[in-house]
Amino acid sequence: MDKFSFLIAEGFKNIFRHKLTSFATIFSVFLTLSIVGFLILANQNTNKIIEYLRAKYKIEVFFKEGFTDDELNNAINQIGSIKGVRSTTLISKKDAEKIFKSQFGEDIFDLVGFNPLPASCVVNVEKDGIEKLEIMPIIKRLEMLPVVDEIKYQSGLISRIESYYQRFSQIAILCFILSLAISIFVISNTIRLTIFSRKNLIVSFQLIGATRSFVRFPFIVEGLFHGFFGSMLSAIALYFLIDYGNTVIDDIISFKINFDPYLLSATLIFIGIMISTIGSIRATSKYIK
Amino acid sequence: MIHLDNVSYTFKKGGGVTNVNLDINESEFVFMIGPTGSGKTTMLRLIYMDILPQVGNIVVNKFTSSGMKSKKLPRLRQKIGMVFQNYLLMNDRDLFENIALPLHVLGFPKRQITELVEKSLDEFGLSNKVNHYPHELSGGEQQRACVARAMIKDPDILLADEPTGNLDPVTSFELIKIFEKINKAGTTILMASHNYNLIKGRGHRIIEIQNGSVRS
Repeated sequence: MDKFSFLIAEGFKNIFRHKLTSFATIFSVFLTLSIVGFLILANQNTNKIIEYLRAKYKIEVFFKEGFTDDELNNAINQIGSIKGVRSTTLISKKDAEKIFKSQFGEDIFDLVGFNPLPASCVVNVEKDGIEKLEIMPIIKRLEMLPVVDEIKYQSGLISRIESYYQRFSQIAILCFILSLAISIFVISNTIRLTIFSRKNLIVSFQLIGATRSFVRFPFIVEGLFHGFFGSMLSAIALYFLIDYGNTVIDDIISFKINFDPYLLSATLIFIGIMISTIGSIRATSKYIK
Repeated sequence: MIHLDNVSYTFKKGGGVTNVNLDINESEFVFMIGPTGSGKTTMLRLIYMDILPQVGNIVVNKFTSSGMKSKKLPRLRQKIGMVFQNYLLMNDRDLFENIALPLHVLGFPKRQITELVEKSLDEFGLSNKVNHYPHELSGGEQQRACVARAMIKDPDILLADEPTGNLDPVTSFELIKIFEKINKAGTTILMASHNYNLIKGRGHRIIEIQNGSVRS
């Protein structure tokens, strides 16, 4: 027990014995994980943006004349069961007449003597999911229905938005992987340098009969602290940055950067601790014979 | 206590020791003399098994070099005290912490560590330097601290590699006297030095190393 408490204490004492190298390690963890955290948030919020845009996608299906309400309702049910369709809204001939009156201020009967407006249906597509939304299979299924006369949708715009989103998602994932790799590289090398400056210490420890785990343990404690403290600082910095960002955005558009501070902190702390601890183990292994 | 049987070790860039046969008995004080580069440090490194012989076998206090695993090394080192020319004290901790370190390695309780370190500091005349860092000590004090650290765990063997190399003649003689006192208490000592004048006429066995071979 005395040995264990000594090793824990050694780890913490080393942080203060080597203030400058501790600062360098904590700062590199803070800086690199802030970028990683920022990219995680950017990725999460891109999903929110695409969900918002997809909610605006609209397919308008116009029905042929001469079908009964039951037949139209049946068709609506069939449309609702198509894969990728989130909801449907039936606009009967009567509804279309009301919409015309509200939009143009005149009764269609007064103008042409009968109601030429067809019954129609507004189809809303699924908004969730990170994979590309394919609109064409939905259109093809709609065209196969005998009641359907005409389909109107923003074909070019939807496919452009979906392609841009796909490309952006791929780049974001690549940036995230790249930033994580850079973090691992920077943090491990900072740790390696700090341990290199103390390689004589490791030699001395081994000469007096210390086991490998005895030599390594304080460095692991130190690595754990550096990882925890650096990642904690990056989580705090991101929290305040987003808080400030939301106040600024709120004045311009009705969009809020969404994030769970607890999940973000936990993720960053986990990454920070893992990289620092593994970095410490690997760096000490290099100098322990 | 220490037995070298036809031991050879050659470094890639040359140098080392060839066909060394040596026996050092329990409680013996042996001086190893020879010019710089003759193989004295290699001999000591072989004994504390920092390097293992390419030919031959070494037995140190029941530990055999053939088939020596790195896991077993700490147990051997815990039985050996080591003193170096450049002291190898840890500059990031004070004298108390430096001397206490071997006891922490052995898992001594805190209270006992305090008692033993205070006793040792007193014995080596360093009581008034307890909170000093190595760079705040003189060469002689650093070397005494180094001996105190080596002896605190009461080792069976003390290996000293040119311990007087950085000391003036008076301090060097004082250190030899300290070693003799330690030896009288039963510790086997093997001390390497290139300074024959320092060790002649003291009544201890002297072995001479030249070009990696033991002469006498």
